[in-house]
Amino acid sequence: MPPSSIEIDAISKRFGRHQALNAMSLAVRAGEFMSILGPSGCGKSTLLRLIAGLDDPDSGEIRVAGQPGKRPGKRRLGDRGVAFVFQTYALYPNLSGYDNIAAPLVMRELNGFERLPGARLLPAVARKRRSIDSRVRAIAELLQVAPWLTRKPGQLSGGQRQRIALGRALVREPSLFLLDEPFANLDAALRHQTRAELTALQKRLGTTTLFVTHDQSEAMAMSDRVAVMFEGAIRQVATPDELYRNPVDLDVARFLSQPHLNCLPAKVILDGHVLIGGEHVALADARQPGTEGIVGFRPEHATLRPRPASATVPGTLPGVVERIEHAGADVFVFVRLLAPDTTCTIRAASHEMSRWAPGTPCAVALDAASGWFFPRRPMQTAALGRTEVAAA
Amino acid sequence: MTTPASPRLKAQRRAGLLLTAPAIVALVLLVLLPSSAVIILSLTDYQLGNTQAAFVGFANYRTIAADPDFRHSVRNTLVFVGLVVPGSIIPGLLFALLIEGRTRFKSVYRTAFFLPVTATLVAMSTAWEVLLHPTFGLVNTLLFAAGADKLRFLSNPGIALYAIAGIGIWKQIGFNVVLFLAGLSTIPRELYEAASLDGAEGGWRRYLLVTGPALAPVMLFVTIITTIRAFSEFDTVAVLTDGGPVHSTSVVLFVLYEEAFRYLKIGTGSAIAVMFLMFIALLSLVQTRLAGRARHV
Repeated sequence: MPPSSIEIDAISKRFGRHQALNAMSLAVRAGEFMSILGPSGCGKSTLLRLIAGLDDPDSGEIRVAGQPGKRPGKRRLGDRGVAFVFQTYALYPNLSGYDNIAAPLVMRELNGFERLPGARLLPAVARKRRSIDSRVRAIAELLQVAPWLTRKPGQLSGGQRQRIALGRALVREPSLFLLDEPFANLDAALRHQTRAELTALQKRLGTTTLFVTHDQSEAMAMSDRVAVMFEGAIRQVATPDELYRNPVDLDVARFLSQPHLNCLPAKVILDGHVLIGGEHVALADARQPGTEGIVGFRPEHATLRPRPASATVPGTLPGVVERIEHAGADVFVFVRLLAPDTTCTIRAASHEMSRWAPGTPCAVALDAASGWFFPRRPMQTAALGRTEVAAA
Repeated sequence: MTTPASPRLKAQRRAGLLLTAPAIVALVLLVLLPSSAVIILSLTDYQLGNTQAAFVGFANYRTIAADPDFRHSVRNTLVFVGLVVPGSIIPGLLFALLIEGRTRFKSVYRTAFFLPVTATLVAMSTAWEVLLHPTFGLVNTLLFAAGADKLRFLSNPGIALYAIAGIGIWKQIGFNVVLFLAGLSTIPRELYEAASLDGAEGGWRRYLLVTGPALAPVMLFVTIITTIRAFSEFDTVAVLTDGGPVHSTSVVLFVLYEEAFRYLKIGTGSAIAVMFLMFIALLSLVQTRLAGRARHV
């Protein structure tokens, strides 16, 4: 089937008192690989289930390839060209790998009589079975699962099961491919390998793919575009690069800067200049003098400079090295700022480690072009971490 | 060869023996000794109350095998089993599927179906006697209201066995429903969702793809239990029909009871008991073998 586009128009879904999706809209282009990224409980899995038709939205409309998904009367999920890979894989435990992959074809192309074991003897049924067999073999070849086809899911490892599940989803050439945290149960090495393979596979097949994950590195590595979700709504839809450079708000910035994002209360004093803890700091993103808000910057978007013990360096934030963490090529230096009284994490090359022993006075110099200024909104105050609130 | 672990191993064995001792003692006293006694008695002409008995070999077995009443009771038992096993398993499964599909009153249905299992059977049999009473019984009142003739359920030789089988089904169905419900609740929801996306949205297709295979172990257990219980039917017959009318409801265990405790012929009674025991043991063996195979395929 040709890849489908998806238009999601103001859908809402409520489970009891929990508003899982709140009038959210999203458009996915045909053939696109889009990740839905968000913390657990943000409604991303619910969204995927609604697109698949496993649940119905309370309001709003989902159009797959221009067709409204919600149909009156009996839904026939199997007839939509939607394939779904579950986090738990949901393989049929009593069927071999081969039969699991063949199941969607057998269920749709053979009727009850033709599925009987003996029906194979009829030439028409044998022809259908051969056609199914050739497609199952082709997918098995593509996913390199041929050696495991005779085994049951219980006899397969997590990674092998996951591939069988992918095979079952791909065998009927879906127009839309939905994956709900498919790598969550794999170990780190396998996750990286499968990540690359799935991306390559998607490029080759060109199937529209929606990939739900809470792992920002996964989303960044695989997607054409990433939709970031919080509290049942989409905050930002952008390419990974755009998302990295220009997060739309503090939540998005924080979520995409794991494990560390530095957040400092600040006030715009001039276009391009902010006041942080009494120091004037250049920041290109700062607009509208007088606005209060939060300056956010990543550990790699600032540099550490030496500082005389009882002096400050103009345009930088004075502090003292608190501790230092080795991370291979880099080190993370945790700096206690003098004002505001909070800790910043700065990345430095690991050969500089000896310069920044705990207790060393230092100055944090922000990269004016890379940091962000997020004007304070009432909603964001609540979203702030405890340290920033205390510091503010 | 001695290994450093061997004293520990010995201690472990001792502990194991100690821990299983109560079960072993109970098993010997309550199962093995009485069974052995029954086997020995079945080879004698012992009568209850006598002080001595003579060894008669397999004479008791030959007598029973030739006895038309016993043969008749075997036939009755087979009819009873043939009705109760499918009659309580298939509707039991259907009820379980219907209850599982509901969102409300699930526990109410579960309790209602399980009641017959917990109730005292003699009391329940009496309740059935009232329900099936030829003149004022509820069933006959309903039949009459529907324009049909009243039936003498328990005293018509042509119907009595079926009436008893109906009660047998009623007794067993709730137990099966509860077991099937327990089995159904272990099937992950995602499996059903995967099936619906794969084109098995519901009904028979979904049952064959997901529910049936997932329930297979439960189904086997239910079949074994139901079969053994049906073969062991006794109390309903004893309370309601006393084997009659004209032996039409006399099942194997009822004949055993009559031989041993009414006619006091312990020898022949024991012979029936031994044959019954061997048959049930064989049945269980076959079924567990099948179960083992089903699990490993």
